[in-house]
Amino acid sequence: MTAQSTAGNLDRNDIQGMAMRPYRFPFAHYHVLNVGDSAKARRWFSGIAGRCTTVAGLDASPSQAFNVALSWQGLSAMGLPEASLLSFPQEFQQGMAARADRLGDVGDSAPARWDAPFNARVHVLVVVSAMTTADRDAASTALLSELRDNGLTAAGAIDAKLLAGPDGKLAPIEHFGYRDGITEPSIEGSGEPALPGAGVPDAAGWRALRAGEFVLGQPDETGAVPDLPTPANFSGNGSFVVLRKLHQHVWAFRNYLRSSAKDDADAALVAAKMMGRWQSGAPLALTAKQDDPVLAADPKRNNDFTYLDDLQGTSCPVGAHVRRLNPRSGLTGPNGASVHRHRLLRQGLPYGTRLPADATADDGAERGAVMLLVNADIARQFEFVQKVWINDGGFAGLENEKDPMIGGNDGSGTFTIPRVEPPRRRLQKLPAFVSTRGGEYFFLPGIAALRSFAGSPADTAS
Amino acid sequence: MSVVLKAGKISVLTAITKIVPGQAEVLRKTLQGLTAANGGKIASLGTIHIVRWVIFDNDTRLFFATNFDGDVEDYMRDFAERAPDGIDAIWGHCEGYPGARDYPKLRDYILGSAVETDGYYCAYPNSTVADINKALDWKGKLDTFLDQLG
Repeated sequence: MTAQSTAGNLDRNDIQGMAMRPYRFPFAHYHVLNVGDSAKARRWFSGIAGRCTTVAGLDASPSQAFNVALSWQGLSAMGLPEASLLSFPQEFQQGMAARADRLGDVGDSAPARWDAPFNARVHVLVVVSAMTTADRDAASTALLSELRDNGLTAAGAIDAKLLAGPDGKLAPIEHFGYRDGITEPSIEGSGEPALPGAGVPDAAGWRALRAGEFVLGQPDETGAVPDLPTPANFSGNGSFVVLRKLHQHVWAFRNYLRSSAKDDADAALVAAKMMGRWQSGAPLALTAKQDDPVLAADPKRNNDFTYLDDLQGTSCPVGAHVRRLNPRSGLTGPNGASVHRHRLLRQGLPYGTRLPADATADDGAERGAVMLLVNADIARQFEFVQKVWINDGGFAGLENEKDPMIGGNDGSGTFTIPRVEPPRRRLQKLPAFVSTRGGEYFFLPGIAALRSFAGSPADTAS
Repeated sequence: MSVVLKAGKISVLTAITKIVPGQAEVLRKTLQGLTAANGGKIASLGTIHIVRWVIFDNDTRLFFATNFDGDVEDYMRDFAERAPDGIDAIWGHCEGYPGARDYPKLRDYILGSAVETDGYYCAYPNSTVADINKALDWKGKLDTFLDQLG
């Protein structure tokens, strides 16, 4: 038996499922909508509140899920009172594009180069998730058919799904070919099994993170409930969803490995050092010399490590992608004290088709990942991770190095691989393997908050 | 946020606050205690190059000037979470102080009392406290190694 994350006084029927539990659906459509007629749109949101998948609703492993979120522009277009709008955090009000400098979205990742519909400010995100394409497509068709009568317009949609693994079956892997989605924070009250490695290491092994790191109005890791946007009965049980559309330069990644490694085995090692896990998902922290698919397939073992026995990074480099995004106990010095205040629940799926293994050139196709990153405080969680952990090295004594997989490298990046026998190995001339192609900050309201849109705008905020 | 000057990797902040009448002496003792023993708690934050407090204007005002690594948005919150008692012990003696546990109010208070920098020079703007300590550590190890050879 795996211990369940304990439920506090959470209303699991009022919180959208996406806020607390990782979605395992293989197919999704990410619909982006704009509000035209706010009176009609308010009725629609109120009406679909009951259709939204909740935390409790996921207990029965449904075959599909439906979730809605609004940007600050969207809340504004829906007529939320000014006082309420201005009580939302500054970064949410500004939106992702305005935060580009802070996020490292410059050059090829700059908002001026983003794909539609993210080249303009958008209002609503609707996530349709399903176990089959037929269910997903039917739900999306139904959604799109009801927009016009309800004061909404479709601005765009992203078709996303799991990729085919080596055996042809759909598998949780990303375009570079690595197993994805192993680490998800375990959250108190979510109902998810508390797997080793998912939460915070403590004397008894691992404990779940406090719900307030992901849900507004709940105590967070400080033990206190932070101030909410007003009114609290609208923002409470809500969460923030950060959407990132990230294009992956798969050809550039393969080319770089070829030019940096001595042979195929060395390329596999170099890539694993950059990622922090082998292709199967087996962590370098537990198997530093070779891949171990059996270990990778065991959810009770494949994440059960803290880096406390690898502070120098001779197994898993301190700057490896997965270690940067979740440093656990592996940060020496004062920066290690607050690592649990910067956690993210990751949702999302790949888009586009895989670059064939035998490709001999870049095919120019659009492929990448839509990331939906869930947190209670965008500045403290997502933006801190993006700016400090991904695009800076100072927090871990890595000077100017950035994340070797998703950092904003410009062809002059370096990546240090510490070794048991000195000297360390250092990769040079790292380019960017990922470019931002769009994104926005959305608020994921609770069910009662969605229902409250039925009243007049003033009632929403009373 | 132009009151915070960014020089390379270092942020430069100066703030002036009004001391609650009669509390200057307690504050002076607190500051002396806090900065004794090579900085103690301040050193353990690991990102502060230099910090200086001056009680001036006939014991009525507090001058605070610091150079620290990173951006104020990222690190002031960390300071507030890691050392709220230390921050309270200082600015708790100043007028209008909201307490360190409400981060947005603390940020508004400190930045609201900050003054713009007009001239600044730093000899090593692209080296963090961690970089410098690491370099000194290596120099020490190299010296030890050379001593053993000789």
